[in-house]
Amino acid sequence: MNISYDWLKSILPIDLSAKKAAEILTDIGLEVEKTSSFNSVEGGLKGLLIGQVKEVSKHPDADRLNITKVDIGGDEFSTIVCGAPNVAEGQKVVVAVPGTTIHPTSGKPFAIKKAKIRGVSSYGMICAEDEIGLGKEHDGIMVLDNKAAVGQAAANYFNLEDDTIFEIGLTPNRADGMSHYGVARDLLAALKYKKLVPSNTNLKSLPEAKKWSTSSNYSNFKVIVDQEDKCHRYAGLILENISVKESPDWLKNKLKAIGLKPINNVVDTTNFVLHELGQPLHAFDLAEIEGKTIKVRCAKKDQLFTTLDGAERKLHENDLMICNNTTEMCLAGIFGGEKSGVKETTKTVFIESALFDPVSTRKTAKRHGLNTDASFRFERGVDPAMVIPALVMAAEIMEDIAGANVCSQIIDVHPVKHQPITVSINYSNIRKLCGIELSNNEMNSILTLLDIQINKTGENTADLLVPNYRNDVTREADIAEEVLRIYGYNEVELPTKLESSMSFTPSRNAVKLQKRISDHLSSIGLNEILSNSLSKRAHIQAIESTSNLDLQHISLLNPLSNDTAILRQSLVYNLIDVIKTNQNHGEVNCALFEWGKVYQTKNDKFKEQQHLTIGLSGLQNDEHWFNGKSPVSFFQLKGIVQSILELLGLQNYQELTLSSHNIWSEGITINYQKKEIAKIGLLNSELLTKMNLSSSCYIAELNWDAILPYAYKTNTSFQPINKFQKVYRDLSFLITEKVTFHELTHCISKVKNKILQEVSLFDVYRNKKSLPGKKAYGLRFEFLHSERTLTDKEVDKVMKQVQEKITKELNAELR
Amino acid sequence: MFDKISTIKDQIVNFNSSDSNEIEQFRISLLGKKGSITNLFTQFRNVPLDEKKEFGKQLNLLKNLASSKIEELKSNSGSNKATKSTIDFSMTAQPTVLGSRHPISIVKEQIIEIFAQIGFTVSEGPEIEDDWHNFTALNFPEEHPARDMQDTFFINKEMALRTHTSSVQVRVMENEKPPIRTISPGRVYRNEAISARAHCFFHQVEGLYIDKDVSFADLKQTLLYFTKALFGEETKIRLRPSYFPFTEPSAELDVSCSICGGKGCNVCKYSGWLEIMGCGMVDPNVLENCKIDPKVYSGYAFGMGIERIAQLKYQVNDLRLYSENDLRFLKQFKSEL
Repeated sequence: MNISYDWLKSILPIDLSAKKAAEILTDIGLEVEKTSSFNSVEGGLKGLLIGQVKEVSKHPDADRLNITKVDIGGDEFSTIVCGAPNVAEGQKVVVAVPGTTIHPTSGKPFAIKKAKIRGVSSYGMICAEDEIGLGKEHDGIMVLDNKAAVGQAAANYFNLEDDTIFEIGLTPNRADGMSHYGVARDLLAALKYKKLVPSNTNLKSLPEAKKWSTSSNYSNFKVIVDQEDKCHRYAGLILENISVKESPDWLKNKLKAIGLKPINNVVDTTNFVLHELGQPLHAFDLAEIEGKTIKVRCAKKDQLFTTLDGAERKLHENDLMICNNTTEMCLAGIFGGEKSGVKETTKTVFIESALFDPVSTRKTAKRHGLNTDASFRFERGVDPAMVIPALVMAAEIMEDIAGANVCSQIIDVHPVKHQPITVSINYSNIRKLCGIELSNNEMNSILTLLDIQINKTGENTADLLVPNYRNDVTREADIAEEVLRIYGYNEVELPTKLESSMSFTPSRNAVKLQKRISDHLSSIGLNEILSNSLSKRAHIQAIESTSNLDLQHISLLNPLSNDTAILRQSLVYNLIDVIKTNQNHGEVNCALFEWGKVYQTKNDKFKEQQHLTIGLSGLQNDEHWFNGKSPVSFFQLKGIVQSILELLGLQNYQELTLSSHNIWSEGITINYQKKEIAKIGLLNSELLTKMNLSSSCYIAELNWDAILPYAYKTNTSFQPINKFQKVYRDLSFLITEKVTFHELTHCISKVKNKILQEVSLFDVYRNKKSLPGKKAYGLRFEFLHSERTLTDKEVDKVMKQVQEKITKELNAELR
Repeated sequence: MFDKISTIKDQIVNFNSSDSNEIEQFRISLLGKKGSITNLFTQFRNVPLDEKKEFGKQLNLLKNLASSKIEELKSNSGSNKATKSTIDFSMTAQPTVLGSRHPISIVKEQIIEIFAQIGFTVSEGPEIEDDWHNFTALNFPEEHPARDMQDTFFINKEMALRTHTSSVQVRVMENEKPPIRTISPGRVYRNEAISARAHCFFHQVEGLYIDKDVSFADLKQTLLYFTKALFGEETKIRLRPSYFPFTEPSAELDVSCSICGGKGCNVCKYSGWLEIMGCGMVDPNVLENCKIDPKVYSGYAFGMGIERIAQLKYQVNDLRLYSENDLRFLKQFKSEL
């Protein structure tokens, strides 16, 4: 909302810099988000000087041009070629020197340059009215009165000072600040509290109703309010002999200053009053009020109505309308109708000043997608005390600028009377809530400045009467805010000690574990990403066709676009997109991870699960003299996932082969206590093609919510360090390709013994020619006894059993 | 032939000298053109076929042994420092690839840590939220202009994507008894067109403290502690009255611009102040909605956007960068913690 500081000062006579005023307004909750300057003359005549024509001589090569010497207060006179017929010696004129930008009344601004005109150098321009935006006069240069001082800035001569415009970010609770009067009123309270103005400073007084001489023509004019709950008050006046025309400059400039376009003297007046007092007004052409009756009633369902903007709207039966005897004329408090408004031919007007219900106004405005200066104010609540002053002010202005005369008394239908708001307070509670030491008396003085009446009811209690314009102040806590904002939020002193209740957080909470894993992943070269949870519809199918069908995706009712229409069911798609974008940028080696939620629904229940995805593509690192280049691999990713599980203390998980899937083509799943906790694999090439990714991709998706219950379930307990020597044995088994490492270890685990600690795979050998369809796994066996050094004999015994078992059960040969 | 290998092996093991000439002579006797090991290599073709593999293996081992012994002796011989080593130590190191954390995660964790130090726990809540927790319990009256402050994505009549993490406040207050001292980080959604300054999803951290006799002064103290911890000891704060349906009194918190130190610059739009969060005393209606007696308890709440904090800390001027996940952006945060 724009507030003109000059306008504000016309209501509150103060001598305070705009900067200081803006600071105080911000401090009391009317935040000045931006200040800008406004000048009623575009460009504000900046750079223009007053000069005196000292010499005029004919241009040798042009009949219509004169060469002048002009004194602009400098050491030398300026030579200016001038084409105006009226230029003469001794004239005081407005001069634009080279470098000045001038703003003509019509057309674009332009810069004055030194120029050669028919062979004569000209240093500037002597200006006509229309050339500098001061009027439309074009016939000759402006000749100023003789008292004008040579060398003076033209802006000073014309008394053009910049106005400061405050852009106030009005919060929805501050209905009182929706006008210049309201802002001035709040500013005055703060200024008085800060003793920055004399204590007798007052706001400009409001106009009061008078007795007008009435015309019998309108004595039977009627207002009928059908919907008292929606229209609390409806007042109006009739003015006749109006001549609808352009408004005078003072009015146009006031409106322009706050960014409004002047229309005509009647509309401008209602707009002026709205921004001065905050009361929306509406002017009807009386000729359109059929039956001389105004009915405030609800619309008929589905009735069509054309508003001022030419749009035809279908009305709702709860839309409050201002009607004449037969038809709708106006969406009450929101927008006028096309027909009933003021036209150039209008001679008599009815001015409405009413009080419409905030909720009803808001519902109608929302239904029709309208947000007008009037609806903005009615939705938040208009001050009931302004209804009559606003009407009178509008009438007085129109009498003044439109030749109108008032020809009725105020018509006032007032079914719902507003009483001041009563709030009971306990001063101590307010002190406690604010944490300030402020005596009851000091608090009372603040409340009084805010026009709040105090009726003491006890040592520390009072009943307060709050004026209606503060419709947000209804409880003790609201009074606390009022006291505090005038006292100053920034004046509140800080306690010297920190008071805090005890709290307990388990050291192994989810947040910490997540951080630990993230730090681990980033330290081994992965980059964390964060992607949008809102995803494409196209991503639904691949998931739903392979996973549990009764878990379905969640759609938004009002999505921004098709690309963000559903909630993601997997983090994998986003990951692929990120890899793709980065590879397009030339970052081919991608090692990424993301924590994020996936969302599904089942029987109207919504399920959000935290997942962790890891994706690898390209090389593990750029080619290097030391270790050449190694592409990312499934086993690298598997190692990363296992390191996470190890960090979380998860042991004894099972690896299973991943069944065919639309996202993964092959890989493994990791199960813990029969629940799947992770998938690791190579991405389906069809999916990659569909998503335009050319390089292969390994992706793991971990279900964090499924893992978390098992994380850190066992406490580390120290085991005495085994001092005995470990014994190693290596064996290489030739097996068919079908046999897995898992089957080998499973087979070995069936050999009962207490000394075999670990079996690792140290070599894989294949030779397509000599050993087709086979592979050789080199296994290393580690033996250790907890109480003594092992003998070869006992190790050999176990090895023999292992060898027999494997050769027999897996049809393996020793190599 | 294998015997020769073991003889030479013994020779190598037993040889010792610190004289560089002697070492060089020894090298020539083994690995020179007519050296004994070189000799064995030329005889390789005479080795019987079935022994070739084993012989080759042992011969290679022998050659490696000889080379490393000579290298070792050379490096120990003091007189020959100038030619001691041919290693170019300026070559690039074996790659130890460092990854990075996302700036939003970094800032989120910093905030959690700062508040953890003064006893705040972490609470989380659902992103798909009902009207009660996201609006009604937080004192957003139906048909009140306050609801316009946040454009909502709806899932159905009842459920929407939460527009703020304040919904978690309500859940915590419903489920726990005061004193409550918690912060709730999380993702929130607004139905706003994506631009440099707005996004349809972002992250917030909400803070809540409910106890007996909690005051606005306590709130101010906590926020001063927080901003100093986050932006540095020199940071100043400014509070401005504001409006949130769920707090009364309500305030907006500004910190002195960390870029220009309050002198005025592009980032703070020459005001010297940067808006970073909303806060206030928990509205008595909210306490009542959560079955906490406002006559007994009071509390404060605050909420901030993590993107906004990260923007100020790292001068990220376009919100979209956070979700584009460009590695050229992400890798810039390697040394942040």
